[in-house]
Amino acid sequence: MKLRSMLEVGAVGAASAFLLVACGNNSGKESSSKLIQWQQSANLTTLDASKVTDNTAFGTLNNSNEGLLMSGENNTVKPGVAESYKVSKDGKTYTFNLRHSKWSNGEPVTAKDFVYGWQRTVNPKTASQYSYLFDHVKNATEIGKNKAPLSSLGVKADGDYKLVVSLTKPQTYFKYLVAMAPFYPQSEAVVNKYGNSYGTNSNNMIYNGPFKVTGWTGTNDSWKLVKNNDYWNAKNIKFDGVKFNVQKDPNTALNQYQTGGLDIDTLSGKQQVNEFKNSKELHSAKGATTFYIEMNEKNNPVFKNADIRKAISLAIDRKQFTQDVLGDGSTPAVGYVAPGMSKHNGKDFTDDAGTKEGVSYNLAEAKKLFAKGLKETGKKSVNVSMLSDDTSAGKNTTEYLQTALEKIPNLKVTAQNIPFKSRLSRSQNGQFDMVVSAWGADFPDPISFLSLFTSDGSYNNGKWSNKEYDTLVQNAEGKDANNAGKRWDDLVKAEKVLMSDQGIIPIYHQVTPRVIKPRVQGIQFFPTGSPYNLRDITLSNK
Amino acid sequence: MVRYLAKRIFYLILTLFIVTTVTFFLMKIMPGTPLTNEAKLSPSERNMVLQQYGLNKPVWQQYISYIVNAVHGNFGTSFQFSDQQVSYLISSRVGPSLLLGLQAIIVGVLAGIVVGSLGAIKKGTWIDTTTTIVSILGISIPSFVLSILLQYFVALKWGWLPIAGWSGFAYTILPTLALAAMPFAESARFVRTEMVDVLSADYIELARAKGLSKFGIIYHHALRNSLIPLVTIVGPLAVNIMTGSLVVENIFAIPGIGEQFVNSVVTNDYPTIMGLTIMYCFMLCVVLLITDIIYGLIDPRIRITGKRG
Amino acid sequence: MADKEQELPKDAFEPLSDGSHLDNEKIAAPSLTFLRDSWRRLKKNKAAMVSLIILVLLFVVAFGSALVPSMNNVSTNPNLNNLPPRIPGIDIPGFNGILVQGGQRVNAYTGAAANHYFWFGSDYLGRDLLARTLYGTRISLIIAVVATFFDLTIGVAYGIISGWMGGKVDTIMQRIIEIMLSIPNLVVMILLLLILHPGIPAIIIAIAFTSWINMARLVRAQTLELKNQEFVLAARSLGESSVKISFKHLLPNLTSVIIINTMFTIPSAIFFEAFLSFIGIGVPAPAASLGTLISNGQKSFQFLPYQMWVPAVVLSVLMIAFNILGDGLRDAFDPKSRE
Repeated sequence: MKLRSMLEVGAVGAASAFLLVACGNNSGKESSSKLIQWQQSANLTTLDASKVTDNTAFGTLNNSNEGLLMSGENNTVKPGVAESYKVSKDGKTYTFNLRHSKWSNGEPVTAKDFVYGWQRTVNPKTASQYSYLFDHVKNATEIGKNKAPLSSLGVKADGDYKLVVSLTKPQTYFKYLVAMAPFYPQSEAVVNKYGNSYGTNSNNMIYNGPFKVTGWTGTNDSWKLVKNNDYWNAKNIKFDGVKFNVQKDPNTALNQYQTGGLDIDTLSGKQQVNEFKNSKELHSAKGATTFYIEMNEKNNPVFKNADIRKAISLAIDRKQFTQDVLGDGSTPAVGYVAPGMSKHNGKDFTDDAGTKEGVSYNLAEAKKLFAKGLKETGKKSVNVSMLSDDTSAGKNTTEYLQTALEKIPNLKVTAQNIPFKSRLSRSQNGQFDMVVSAWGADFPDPISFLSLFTSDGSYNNGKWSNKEYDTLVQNAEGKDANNAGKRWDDLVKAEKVLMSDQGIIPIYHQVTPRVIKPRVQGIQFFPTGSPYNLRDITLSNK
Repeated sequence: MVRYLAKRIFYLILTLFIVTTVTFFLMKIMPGTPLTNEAKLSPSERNMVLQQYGLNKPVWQQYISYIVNAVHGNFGTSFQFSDQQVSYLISSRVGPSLLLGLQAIIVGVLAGIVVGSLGAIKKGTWIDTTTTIVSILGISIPSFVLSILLQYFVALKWGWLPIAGWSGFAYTILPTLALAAMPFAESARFVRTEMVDVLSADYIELARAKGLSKFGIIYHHALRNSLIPLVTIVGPLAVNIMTGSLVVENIFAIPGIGEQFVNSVVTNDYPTIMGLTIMYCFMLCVVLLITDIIYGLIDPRIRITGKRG
Repeated sequence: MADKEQELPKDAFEPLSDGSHLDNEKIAAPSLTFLRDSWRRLKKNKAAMVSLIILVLLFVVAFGSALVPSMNNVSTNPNLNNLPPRIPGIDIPGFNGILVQGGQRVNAYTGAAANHYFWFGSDYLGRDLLARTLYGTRISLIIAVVATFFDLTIGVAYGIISGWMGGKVDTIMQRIIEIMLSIPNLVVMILLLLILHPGIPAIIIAIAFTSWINMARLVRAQTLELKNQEFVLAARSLGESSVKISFKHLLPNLTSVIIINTMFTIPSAIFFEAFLSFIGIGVPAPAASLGTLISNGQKSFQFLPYQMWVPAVVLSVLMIAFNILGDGLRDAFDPKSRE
């Protein structure tokens, strides 16, 4: 090993210097596969509509099965299995007229399948984690608590092709809910046939949507959606299908995309997005997701002081953070409710509720307020920890926030990044000072956001409490529920209250940047509920 | 031999039992449940979920049923994959990992033998120097750096091999190379040292005096005698490969258990973590047992007795 | 029976004149202790010496930079992020601030960055990569050295006790080692890290907890050998206590085994730390180690290769230097290799 080994070290160094220059630049290759090759960053976990919890499964399921209605562009709903529906005047009864359609095993899809599917999701024995979406359906909550029989659920089949739903109180956004997976029809015969293994692989499942899932063993890293010829609208499905490939390493995935191995790839981080900044292949899908900081008022009484909360919010330069640090297209928070989700009289919710309050940046003011807050609470300094996910965006967030907040004198922040589920569990149990949480709306209505921070809200981990806010949200869900204008005003006011008291500190609204090869046209991404719709895709074979 | 085997198998079972017990209780300390939105559930629904996973019983009962089930090859239900058995999860993903591991150890050790004996035969020449440098580099450059470089240059820039995935032999080449680097370097160093010793032994002198050809000497005497002790480092090499597979599988998108293990850690999928930990220990124990037996069989100087192997 | 005196000739015995003949027996070389002798041999091994110098330099630079304020408190500066390396006065590609983006060569140092020079570039938060790498090297070295220290203490104590006590104690202790050996160490580390509060101490514990076994085995073997030697027997018959014997007689004779093994433990500790940080369960942000830097750099390797090259090369050089030095020390301490 003599001196030569040292020369070798030198050579490695020289080689690296040389390679610094030789950066990659090869895109433009396209695959000729008849299937769309699509990268996923997580495995498919289930096909059981009652048990689905994650985006990968929602995405697959939304295109292999179909509910009464389905999501359309611009937060609309389109007819699905239901050709049409009627809402009673009091807003409590929905009547759906179903079309004649078939399962992939040839059996007809009937109203009974919906009744069974809904009952199964609500049934506490199923242990569905989304059963709370049914809370307006008659008796759903009681059934969840084992206080009413399953058959008392407010959904009835009137013949084979008519479904009648009774709600306990009006719910204007119910139409969005029925487009979601937990509201899909399920065939009792098939569920019973497969028992515990129902939906655990692509064979133990039947489909009523435009595609069938194939090639999923339950644990493998790739699966396909292939055209389902039994689908009622099969003649309008213009391509063969999709192959999903799990590629957890974003670098690997992008390499694959560039060499034509993938048609759709989710980008990760500023550099990847930058590379495609001027490219037509970049598609940034806005999600109705807000990242925000919760402050634990129970654990750390200093957060009961509104000045302290406001000071922390004022110290965060959201524009710099989203542009320079995240750089993936995410937008600075304009409030708690995400923009572009719901409109009333042509105006976006955030335009009506829009205040600079609660989301602006002013370091001098922050320092002043913090000093004032300290005096009021009688403290000399505040030393807190900040919890966040251990994803790369999560780490970026805490790293940035730490330096930003420590610009305030006498405030010391330590960062902690832990896995998603640990973070959830610690948030729920109140084991934190500050936590960066995220909420993505289930359906495009501000209530999906605002219901969280009522005093008894189950996701109100910081235990912020405000009587006025509680009343406003209660009115929107109760006495004003069937009066669109009043309901809207209630919600706008609630948002304003939350922001001016700084119950939480919104940071940014998430955007998912993807690159899509030009041969794939017509794919639709949705901010809430179903992540995407593949029914209108055309695939050219250039 | 039979007594020896029985004893070794007893220790294997004891080890697995200890590992199972320790991991079980470690996992019980950890926060987190299979629920992703616990807060929205009513208490009865929450109980129902916990009951499905058997998490509502006292810890000691959970422990006993875990051990009983584990004996039957049942490691519970995954938190991440709904209704999916951990044993199925492991068995359906273990294939690619085993194949890669096996390929890596064969390629690595064979290349190591060639390079190591070359170095010993040409001791002191530039060939020796080069082989030593290569093996030092092999030991020093971490597998994850190597994987990234291999993927970037060989697959992306030069386009010789697929970037990632698992659909044919070509897809196994790069991950195999990344995994084989360490076993290659270790065995090259090991063989070189052994061979240098053997080449200066008296019986080699005798063979030389008898006028055997150089090739004959090396092939019949030197190589054989320096390879026997190589069996002893196969165990540690297997550990190396297991370690490496955790990142290499992730970078090359291999549907194996290494990638699954890291993923379970990140998603707090405790049943899967436990199952895979036991699986890894089991595999390592078996490798160690097999290498000990082989060693006993091929080296007449070693007699396997009931006492020490 | 004759008692007749015999006269000896006067010149039968000649008194020795001076002490000049003693020179024949004189040890010309100065007397050397074992360590000094090894050092002398090590000095002849050029590769090992170069490695030693590199390591000393790395240690000095990594720890010395902690005293330079601008190198120590690395502040984030998001509007200066992802700048490629630029060294004043040097215009070779790769170090002139030119970046290839979207197939075009652009000068990345524009606007606010125009007057900055990042020798190794800046990272995604606008931190100086040189400072970050030095900081990371420091953290990596601290973790490795402290973990090695613990594993050395545990390993040596375990080995000596096991070897010295012998009998049942030895058997039990050896069984424990055998069981530990059949558990992949990385798995144990990951499990430990899962339950411990994430942070540098947790990593040190996790690494130390699994890596003492090798040391223990080597020390035990050596102790078994020493135990039966005369000087130990002598000490024992003089009534020395076991503790005193281990410190006064065993430990000095174990030095070479310990030093050599330490030299191989440190790089493996560095490797494990980097590995754990790479898969995302190592050093928590904003602290960084070489592993986290490589992991961050890997994400944009295609576009900003320097972000991975810099920490990766430092890590590899560290590992190579430790390995070569370890090899050199083994040769130096091994009396058989005396030439």
